[in-house]
Amino acid sequence: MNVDQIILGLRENCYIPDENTARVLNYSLLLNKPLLIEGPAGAGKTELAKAFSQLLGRELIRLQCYEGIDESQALYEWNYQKQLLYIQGKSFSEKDGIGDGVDVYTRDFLLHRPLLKAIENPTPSILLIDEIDKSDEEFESFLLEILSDWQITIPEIGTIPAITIPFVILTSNSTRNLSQALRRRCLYLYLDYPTEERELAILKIHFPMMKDTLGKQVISFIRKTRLERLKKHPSISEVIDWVDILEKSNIENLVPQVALNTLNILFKYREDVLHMEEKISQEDWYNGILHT
Amino acid sequence: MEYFILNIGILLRKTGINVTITEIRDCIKVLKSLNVNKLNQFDIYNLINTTMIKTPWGSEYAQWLIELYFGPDMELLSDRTGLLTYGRGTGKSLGLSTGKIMSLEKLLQAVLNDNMQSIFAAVYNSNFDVEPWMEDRQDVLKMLQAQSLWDEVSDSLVQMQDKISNEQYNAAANIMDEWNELLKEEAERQLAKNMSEEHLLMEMEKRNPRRVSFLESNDDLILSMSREIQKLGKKLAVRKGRRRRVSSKGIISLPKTIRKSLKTSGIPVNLVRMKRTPSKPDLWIICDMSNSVSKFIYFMNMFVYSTQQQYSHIRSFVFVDRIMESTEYFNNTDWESALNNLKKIKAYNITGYSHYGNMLMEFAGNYLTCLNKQTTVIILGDARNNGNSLESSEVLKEIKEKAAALYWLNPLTKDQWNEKDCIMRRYEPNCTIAASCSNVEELERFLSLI
Repeated sequence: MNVDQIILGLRENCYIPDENTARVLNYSLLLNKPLLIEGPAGAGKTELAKAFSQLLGRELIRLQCYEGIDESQALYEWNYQKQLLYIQGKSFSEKDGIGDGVDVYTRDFLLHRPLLKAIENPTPSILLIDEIDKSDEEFESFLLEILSDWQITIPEIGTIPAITIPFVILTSNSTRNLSQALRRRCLYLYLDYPTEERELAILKIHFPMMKDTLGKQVISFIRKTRLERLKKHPSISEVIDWVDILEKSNIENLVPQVALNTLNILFKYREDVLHMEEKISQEDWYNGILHT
Repeated sequence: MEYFILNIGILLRKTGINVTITEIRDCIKVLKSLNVNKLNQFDIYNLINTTMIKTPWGSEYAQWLIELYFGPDMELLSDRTGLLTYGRGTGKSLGLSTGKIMSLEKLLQAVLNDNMQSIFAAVYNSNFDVEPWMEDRQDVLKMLQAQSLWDEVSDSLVQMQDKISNEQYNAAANIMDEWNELLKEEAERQLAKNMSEEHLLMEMEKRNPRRVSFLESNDDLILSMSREIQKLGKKLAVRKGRRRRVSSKGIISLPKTIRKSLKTSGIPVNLVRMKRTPSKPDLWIICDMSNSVSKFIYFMNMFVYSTQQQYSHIRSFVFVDRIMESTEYFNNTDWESALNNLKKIKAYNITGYSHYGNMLMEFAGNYLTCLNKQTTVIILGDARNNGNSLESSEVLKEIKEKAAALYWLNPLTKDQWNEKDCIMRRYEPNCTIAASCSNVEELERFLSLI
């Protein structure tokens, strides 16, 4: 699969990539190496993984990371209750106590979590490890074996090699530095907010009937807000929601009053809403948006 | 090609970017599979960032490095400056043969017609030759300005100011600025050709946001440095508390598990685990607000306040020759505005010269009794006492005894700690940790110690 095919394929799945993104995906396929995607929240990292899985026709196995996640949520867990019931059952049937050869550490008692599921999938899948920066450094060490050797070691069973090698995408919001050991196992892509042309193309895919004027005004407004000092800038999905509301309200022109009435769709912090209210009421700030 | 990539990898390592042999191998592998016979600058720049540098600011770093080796690429230049209307243009296509400079009239015409493409081609088709003995950037720039006729065009433009409209003049002035930027980059490239590898590495380090000194940082790097610092904030001074709470992982609590098993006829179907939770300490920061460390203080405050949620309470103090509590300033507004507001106040700055001895004495008199074992104290400053005899290093000992920990972060390097009026060596023994913190990398190293 070459770069152009990737661009075309992603567009067919409603994702407009830039050439750099497609190129890096191509490198990742060529080398069969995991891809680490960093960028601000709402830039389209997770959507890229979803669109890419649809393009390749592979199942998407998602591991959502959070603070405190450990191997029992990510790799595997022993089904303790099943083991307990099995032992109880054995001890009732064999009146002398636990019989010989009771082994509760077998695959039957293993709960497959996303990482184990990905490597034991009969068909190649896409493994999305989302927001890896939310986890802690200890958790990253669990990933090292699987990302380099495509195997998992379970002390009681042994090493489980991959049946199929998944294509791994890790996403991060850059809230902390990931370890060197993890970074060196991955290729890297920084996904920033899209350019004006790309964002307009994204809106056109979602809203084919959107008027050109409104589209350009929306993009111009968003561009200006992303230059402001805010707690959280509007993400692409929030822009899509906003345009959805504008379309449903039959708005053709983004006048200041419309922008003021719909700020809560774009901005999720009170301070940001107040800041933007002040900005919109400044004529020189809003100049240029209406005449785009 | 392989040797070139290997050299780039080795150079990157020397400037603090960890590049492994596997990453170099990946870069070469991809390059070979792309089947490029000739080195394509855009591919190399993209590839180096993806396979070797792997940071948000790595793309700009790679671009600067590649331009140094190959000369600029019009497409890359337009990427960085954001001038997306430019296309590729070579000197030949514009009627220039290599080495020839365009006439003054043609250059002036290009400036007035907003034709940056011609200017670009003119600059990079000229065979500028900088003498090896030339080291000063400004001298080289002046030479290039003369050779490329920039100063003559500039003079002509000034003379024509009355004959053209204001808009035209302003547009032409912008083109002249961009042309000057091209000449600055060319000057750097010419100097780099003549400089030793050691010097080149120093230049590369200055562009690495993790290695550039806080005190020497420029506006271009502040955003990248800010991002790096905010990522480090989570590690600061969090200690595991003694209290345990119920958790989904951790040591099994036998008493609680047995108690819970009463619901299931004594069979411990569900295990109760306990986890030690990190305690949230109080944090006191004491900042030197003198001009010599203003950039350092900016970054350190960013670092501390980006992780406010890690502390139960932050109390801040500022000083130059007197100490003043500034907690209220940071309570109701963002830290940056608070810092700017504080700079306008004179209560902590009577003489304009920092006096650490006086500051510590005042701290001991007013605030020492409020310290307890839940408090972490951080002093941010260069310990330059301006020759004052009063040092008050014994106060630091008392702070260290009363508080959970006393850390001192000094923007000067350790070999500067006993130079001139810096008395850090006298304060160092009374601190839990006294660390040189001149850049992001050293800050990270300090965090690994605590």
